[in-house]
Amino acid sequence: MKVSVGTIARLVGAILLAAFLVRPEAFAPLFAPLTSNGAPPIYRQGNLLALAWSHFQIVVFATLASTLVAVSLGVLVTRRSGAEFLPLSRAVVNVGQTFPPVAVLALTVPLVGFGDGPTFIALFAYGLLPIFENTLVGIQQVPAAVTEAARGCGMTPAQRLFRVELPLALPQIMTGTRLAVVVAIGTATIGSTVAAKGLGEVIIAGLLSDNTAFIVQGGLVVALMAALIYDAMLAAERSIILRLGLPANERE
Amino acid sequence: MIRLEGVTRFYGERAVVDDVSLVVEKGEMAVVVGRSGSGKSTLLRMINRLVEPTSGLISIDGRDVSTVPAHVLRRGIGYVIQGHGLFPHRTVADNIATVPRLLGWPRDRIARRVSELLELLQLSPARFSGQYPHQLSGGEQQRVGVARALAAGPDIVLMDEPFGALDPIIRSKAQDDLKAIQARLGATIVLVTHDMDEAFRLGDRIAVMEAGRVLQYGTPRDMIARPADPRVAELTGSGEGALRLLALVRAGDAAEPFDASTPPPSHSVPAGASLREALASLLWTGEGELAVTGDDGRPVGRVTLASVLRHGRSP
Repeated sequence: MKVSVGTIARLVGAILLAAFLVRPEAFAPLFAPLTSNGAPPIYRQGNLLALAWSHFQIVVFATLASTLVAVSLGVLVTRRSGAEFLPLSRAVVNVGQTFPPVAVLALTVPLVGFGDGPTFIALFAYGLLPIFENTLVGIQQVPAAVTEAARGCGMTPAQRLFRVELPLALPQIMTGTRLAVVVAIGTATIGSTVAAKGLGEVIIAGLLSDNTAFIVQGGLVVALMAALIYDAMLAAERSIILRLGLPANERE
Repeated sequence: MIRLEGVTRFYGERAVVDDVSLVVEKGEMAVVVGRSGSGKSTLLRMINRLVEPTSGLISIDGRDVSTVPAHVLRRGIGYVIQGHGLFPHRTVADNIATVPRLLGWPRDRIARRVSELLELLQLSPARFSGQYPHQLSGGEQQRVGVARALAAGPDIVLMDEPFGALDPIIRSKAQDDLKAIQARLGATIVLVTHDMDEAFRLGDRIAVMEAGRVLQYGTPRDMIARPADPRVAELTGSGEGALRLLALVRAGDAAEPFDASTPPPSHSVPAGASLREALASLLWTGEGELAVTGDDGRPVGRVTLASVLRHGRSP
């Protein structure tokens, strides 16, 4: 089997990330040049692995929630009876996207208090748009002859949705989810300003103590995590496209 | 038996199908032919309730179709559309199994039925079962579409331009195969096409539609001999009437016994060929008569130029 440069790069990235999260001290010499006045080169106020894990969890739960809501909305507005809700649904998910997450945090803290809650809400709102729009496209691009055949075979509306439309829209829905996840991984860092547990802590600690090493290591961990997850999800999408025998879309 | 009585469908102010009444007898193949926009597809789609009539009655074996839940009705009626409409995310076997699964057949019965149908449509089960539609040629996709429609053994099959996406050579083979399958299964078929040659080739009865109305409904011979309307004559091609008549007669049916006193003809046509083909062969070879050969290749009789000409004379 041919091993591509990309595969090797991904493998190296994954090993480096794992190694850094488990044994950050080992990388101290690398970050030492970024510190001054004997400041610590590695963040030690919390366990990096635990922070990364809770960062990841918030992203996953928030994206799952936005997927559930956005796909349901997408299905609703592509039904004949729900078509009139299309403009309203678009407006809702657009507000979710255009409202700055920082503002969402500021507004939700008084309602749900400090901690993971506000971050979850901000990420949830931010993820709706890409998933909703991709669900719409995915369902609308199911060929008319195919839906006609599904009706002609005697499938009920629910059977058409679950056996034909959603399976055929799945790769497109996954594209939306992938975009939402990657954006959420980066955006989740600001959650640390309202005491959500996540990798933003490292970056904020660096900003407060003027320690560039913290900022760089926090940023690198987040970036590497985003890149690896993006890749993994893209690979999953491609394998589904192949397995479903769908013509491979030109993307990336 | 399918009966349509005064069936009308309006879209807005326009009657797309306008007061159509006709009966398709059990085991017949009725072909609805017309230009695009003549309302022929809408007419077809009202039989399995993909479109509801604005007024009029459609019944199958005496039962009003509007009293049967639409999805239940459709599971009992085969449906083939242009461009096949196969499910791209399902294998050939799964596509064919669609209706039996909806009907809740047991697994082994479905598996048996799928291989049976693949054999019937000359697709090797071993090779095709696991393939996806995009891996097949146009002709193979079309046959899988027919197999899917036949899967649950429906008494009625509706076909909307089933050969429209095929190139001419594959098309005539597919038409012959459809004829053979119908003869074998005895299904009632309603087929919609814009191709008059296809209508004459396949139809036991032909309905000519224009602007939502059926101008004439009758046997191919009637259409040519007694066109009910100048527009029918125009559509069937008045100048080609003789050739169409010849195309309706098989050489085997027109063959005369050999005359022992004359030497046998040097050229031949198969018994299944039409007199139109026989005429073409006579013109081409310059002969006055042809031997007609049976399935085993042995001569069973002869057709003469004179007899061919007689069959093509205006009735």
